Amino acid sequence: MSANLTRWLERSLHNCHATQSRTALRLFSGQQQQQQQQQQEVEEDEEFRVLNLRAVKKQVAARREIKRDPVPPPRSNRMAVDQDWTAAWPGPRSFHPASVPLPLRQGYTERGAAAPSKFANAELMKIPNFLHLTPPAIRQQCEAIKQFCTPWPKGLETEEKCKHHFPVEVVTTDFCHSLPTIRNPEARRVTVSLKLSELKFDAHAKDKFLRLVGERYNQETDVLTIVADRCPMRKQNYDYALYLLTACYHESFITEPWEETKSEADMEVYHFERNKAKLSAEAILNWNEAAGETKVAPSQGYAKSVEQLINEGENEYNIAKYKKEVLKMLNIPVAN
Amino acid sequence: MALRVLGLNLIKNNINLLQNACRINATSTTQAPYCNQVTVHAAPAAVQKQKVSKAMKAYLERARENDEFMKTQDLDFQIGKRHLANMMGADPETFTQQDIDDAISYLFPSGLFDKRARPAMKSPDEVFPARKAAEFDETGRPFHSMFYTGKPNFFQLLHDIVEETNKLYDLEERMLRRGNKPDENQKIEMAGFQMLPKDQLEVKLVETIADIEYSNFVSSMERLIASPFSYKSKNFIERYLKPLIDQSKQLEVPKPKIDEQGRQYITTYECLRKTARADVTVRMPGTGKININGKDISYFDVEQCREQLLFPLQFSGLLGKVDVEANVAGGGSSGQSGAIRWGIAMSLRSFVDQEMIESMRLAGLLTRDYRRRERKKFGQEGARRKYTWKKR
Amino acid sequence: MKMFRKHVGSISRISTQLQRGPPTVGSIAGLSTEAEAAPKQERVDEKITEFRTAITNPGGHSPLQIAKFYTIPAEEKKRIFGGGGLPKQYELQIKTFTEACLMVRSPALELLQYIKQADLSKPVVRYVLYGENGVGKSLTMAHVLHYGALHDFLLVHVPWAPNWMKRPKETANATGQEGFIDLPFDAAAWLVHFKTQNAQLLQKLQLKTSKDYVWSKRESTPTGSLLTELVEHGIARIKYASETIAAVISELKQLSTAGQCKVMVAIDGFNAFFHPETRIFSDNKQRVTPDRITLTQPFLNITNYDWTNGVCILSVDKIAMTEGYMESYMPRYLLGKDGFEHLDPFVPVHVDNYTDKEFTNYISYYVDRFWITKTAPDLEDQLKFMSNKNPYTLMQLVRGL
Repeated sequence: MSANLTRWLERSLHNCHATQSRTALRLFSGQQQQQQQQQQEVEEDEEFRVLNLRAVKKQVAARREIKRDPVPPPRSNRMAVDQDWTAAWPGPRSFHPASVPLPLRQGYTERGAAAPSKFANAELMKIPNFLHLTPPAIRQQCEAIKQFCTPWPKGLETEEKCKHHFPVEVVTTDFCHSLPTIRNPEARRVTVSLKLSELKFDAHAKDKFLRLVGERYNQETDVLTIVADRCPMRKQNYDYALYLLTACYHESFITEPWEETKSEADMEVYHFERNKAKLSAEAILNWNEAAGETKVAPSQGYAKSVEQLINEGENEYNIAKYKKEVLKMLNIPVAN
Repeated sequence: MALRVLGLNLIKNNINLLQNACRINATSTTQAPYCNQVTVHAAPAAVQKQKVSKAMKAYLERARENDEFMKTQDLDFQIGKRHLANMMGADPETFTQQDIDDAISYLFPSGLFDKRARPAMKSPDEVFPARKAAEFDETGRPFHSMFYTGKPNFFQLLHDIVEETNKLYDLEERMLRRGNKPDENQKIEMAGFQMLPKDQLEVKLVETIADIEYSNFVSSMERLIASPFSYKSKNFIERYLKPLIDQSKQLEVPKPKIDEQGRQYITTYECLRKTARADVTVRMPGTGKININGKDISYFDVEQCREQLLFPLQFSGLLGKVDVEANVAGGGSSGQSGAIRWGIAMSLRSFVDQEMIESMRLAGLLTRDYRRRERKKFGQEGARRKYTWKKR
Repeated sequence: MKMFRKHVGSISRISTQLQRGPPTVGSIAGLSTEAEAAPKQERVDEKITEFRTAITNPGGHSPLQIAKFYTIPAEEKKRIFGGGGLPKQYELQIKTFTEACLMVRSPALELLQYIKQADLSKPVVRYVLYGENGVGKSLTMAHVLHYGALHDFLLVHVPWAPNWMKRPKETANATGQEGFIDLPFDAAAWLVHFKTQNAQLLQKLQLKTSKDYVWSKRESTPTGSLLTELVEHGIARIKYASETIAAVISELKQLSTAGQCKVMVAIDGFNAFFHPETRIFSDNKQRVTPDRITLTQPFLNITNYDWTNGVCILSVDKIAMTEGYMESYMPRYLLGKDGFEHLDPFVPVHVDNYTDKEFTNYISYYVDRFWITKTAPDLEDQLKFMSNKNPYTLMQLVRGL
């Protein structure tokens, strides 16, 4: 009996399954559309499934993530396009990408790639920028300085007038750098320059003065330059330079007794009177004259031409003049 | 025609997508009656529906990103431009690209030699190069029949050339049969033209091509042009020709200036040869006076150097008709004379006609000689010469 | 320019043909016989050619003959320039062209005019020729020398003074003066040159010495002996050649001051006497200065102004100096301070490059001698600019290879 019961039960179960499966089939066909859509969604983000035959390995303990503060967006994003740039960038400073609201790019790339942007671009930092000297900034600063300006003194309108009234030029240098000390050894140097034509000399004094100052005098520009840097302070150096100038000037007017012994080799310029040229010219002109007669002196023009030839150096003009004078003096008729 | 049309392409793709969507809808409706039958086959649904290929998906993603990126870049640029105008105290509405360049070179005065390496602020269209658009549809099916060659545009071009050539051959045959002869007057003149260079062709095709492929292109083009009736497909050929610019026309000839005596003169600065540099002034109505650093031609002792100096004058027939003044420094005598020669030739361009300039150019008078002394190598006697080999 | 080179190539070919052509061109002796016959034939067509003048006596040259060639008769050339006086290259050209042609140029004419019109009773006037390298200073001097030889001037001619300082044949310590260097061979060579140049004139004038010259115990030249004898003695006894020169020159000075003869002094490369140093070494291996050479003094002596009845033609030259002293061709620079003082006051005469007319004439002369052929139309222009109208450079440009 029981066996029959179980058999029936089994059969009924079978039937039950069959009906279920049938319904399921029917269901499937009916829900096909829905399922298709679902399936499509699944497929959207479905990767290839991995056939994992072995048991899944033990999950690796996740590493502790280092927490980093999120990088804030660059400051330039918040800048208004009509801001006061001189306030945003008041002084000289090397380039900073977040503070400059310009989509700059710099760098050479191969064909087909964009140039590196301004972020983390060291090249942009190497360039000395003028962001603090934009035209509005310059205008602003000029306006600010204006109140401290005084009118230009009358009578000094041109460079020549300045030079005329203030012939001595003093040059000093101030150094500005970021160091613990504010002093620079070069700041004590004082350069005093002066046109020599501003000073009044006689022939002897000028010669002596030039010998005293030596190479401080530039013959081409006629400028005397005295550089003083032997004292530690600028003031001292300035005083010393002016003292030197004054002392040399006054010393040059003193004639020492030993100066009389100056020989021809010491002469700074060639003098016809003191040289052999005069003797030989005289000898030629007074050839066959008796001793007592008045001597004919060589002409002034000849003397001048010889001096010019030697003092100014030789050139075609000087030598032609010399030739002319010699021919005149020696009474040789000139070819035409 | 670099396919700068990502955006455009996007629309095209969108259209495709739209169509696709429609198609999917359509299939779903049309396939409904077959549902029951399908049960038997139990075929996978993926085959049935129009699937968007992965590559296409990736491409679409990329295109979208690119589009967005370009948009933000453009916005940045517009804002940056306004910022820059504000910095320079100018009106942002009338601030042109030229103004931008000037402002940047004022604010960031870079001394780098290559102008492309200097800082710049340009519109993103110029900065970011174009990329190739999709070559296949959503299903992954290529548009182009030669897609699988890897370089469809290039091979299409070759194909086109051959097609044109064949057409011309046919035409020739027909004409021959009719007894017509090709028109000599219409013949394509290749004298002033040159085949499109490789790099330009690459840009045109948006594909990189190998040297051998380029030579294939050249030879097939040549075959096409050599055909007697090539003028019939002139339009096609001209697309791949580049006019040769007359080099001497290209260089601008300076206008002579007038000096105190009312003579025309031209000064050429930076005449270089070896390590010598010179500046040369040529004055037009002259008597052939030559002044080099204050001396006449006897500045050069060597006969050859004098010849070098006089050659451009003699070549252009202006010997004794112009005066030359030169300041030259550095280098030796041959370098100095070479530098002056180049300077004279360059200056003389202003005093001779175009034809003479061209022949001077062909004579190599207007070409800079960039050769320099080669360094000595260690282990060698000189630049190239080796020490005498001696077996022990 | 390549064409031009080719052209010069063709020139050289012709030149070689020319050299090969006449077989007698081997020596000057062979040349003279030919040249004697030549003038008679050529006299006719000489007038036709516009670049030649028939006046062979420099005394007859006037500005009309400027830029024209005149021919020095062969025997005169041999007499005057036998011992030097014409540059080597020019000598070679003369040999090739088988005629000694000189161009009449303005510096020479200027000098000739000075000499003709000079008051010989006044102290001698020193004329100094100066100019760039290769402009024809020596040839100008040769022209004037020719004049002097034809107009009864006794020639005291030094063809190239730097030879003594730069490459002496032999050096010896001077016997007479302590610390001085003697150049016996060069001195004797100069005496020979002097003798050949002035043999005829000395024969005619019969000049006598004014004092006794005692050379050694046995040798002496007594007062009243002929000047030729003095010279002969110097040539024969090379040891005393330098002293003989000093004697001859002081005699000449006295004689000319006395009015017995006219003397023309011509020294080429005179500035060599004032060069800071020579190439001669003394006993203690020191370079000798030119004033320590016995030959220097007589020639400095005769260029002094303290005598009359003569002319001095000197030339200063860059190439008489050595490296480091060749910056300028100007007389003051080349002579230095001492030299300038020694000569002052002198008449500088500038010799310049060819003028256009001279240049064209020279080219036509070359064409006439078949030395160059004018195939390129602008050959003359090219040569003009290449050479900068410098005579020596022109000669070098058209030279045979």
